[in-house]
Amino acid sequence: MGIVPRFNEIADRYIAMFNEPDDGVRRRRVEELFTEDAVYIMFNNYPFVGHDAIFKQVTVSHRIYVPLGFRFASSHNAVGHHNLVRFGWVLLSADTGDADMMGSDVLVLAPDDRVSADYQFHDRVSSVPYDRLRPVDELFGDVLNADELARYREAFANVGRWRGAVASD
Amino acid sequence: MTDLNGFARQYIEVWNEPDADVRRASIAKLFAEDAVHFSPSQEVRGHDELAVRIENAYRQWVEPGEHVFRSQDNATGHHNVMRFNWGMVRQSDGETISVGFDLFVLAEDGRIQADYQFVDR
Repeated sequence: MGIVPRFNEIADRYIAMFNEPDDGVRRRRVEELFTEDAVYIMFNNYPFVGHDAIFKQVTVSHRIYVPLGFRFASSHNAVGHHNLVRFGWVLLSADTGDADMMGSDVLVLAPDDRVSADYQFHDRVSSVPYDRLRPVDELFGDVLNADELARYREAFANVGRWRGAVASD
Repeated sequence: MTDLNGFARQYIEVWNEPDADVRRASIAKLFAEDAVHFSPSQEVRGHDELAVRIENAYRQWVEPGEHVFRSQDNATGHHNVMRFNWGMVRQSDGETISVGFDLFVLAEDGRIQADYQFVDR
């Protein structure tokens, strides 16, 4: 197994996917970055498996934060070995430049250098008032099905229950 | 799993364990039979290779009596993954001279399926 080149470049591509405004381009970024059967695991959510599920979750993240003036940024501290990449990231407020959310990921790469597993941890949860966002049907109705919309509706309404949990399930 | 820090401490104690039989038994308790362990310089699979890997680290760092490994008790986890930091502490002055990070992917029985280790300094 060889050394994976350009760890920060992989992290940059990962982050750019979350900031990408165009749904079609974002979908292509998901397909370029992840294998068909990739798993993306974050706290407070079921594991997202495959391009469709990962695209939906990345799109949800984009549509929550970017319209509010936030942008995702890599911490440019990526390291790696074997088929592994580890890096930190922040969600930056356009108003203050402060980090509103922080976390890190360990990516497991397949032989074709796409991500086969993405293990994500949050060190700081966003201060965004999830219970005062626009209705989930307006935000995500064109992407998520009824069950998925119900799930986010419930999670956003009960933000106080999970915000303190940070990285715990 | 609820006691993530306890599990991390059990893992770290294997690296400090002087007795080969105890070390071997702890490896079997903590790791799945086909577990993988990737560190920056090592790639091992299964209990036999893990036992060699951990014994080598013990001989190099712990056996001379100069260092001991300690969990930093900051384990967090969700689903079947957990992460934590550890330090290698110099016995003479208690200074932490090396810090690392492990991410575990756990099997259904709670044992480690994959151990992705990074050394930060």
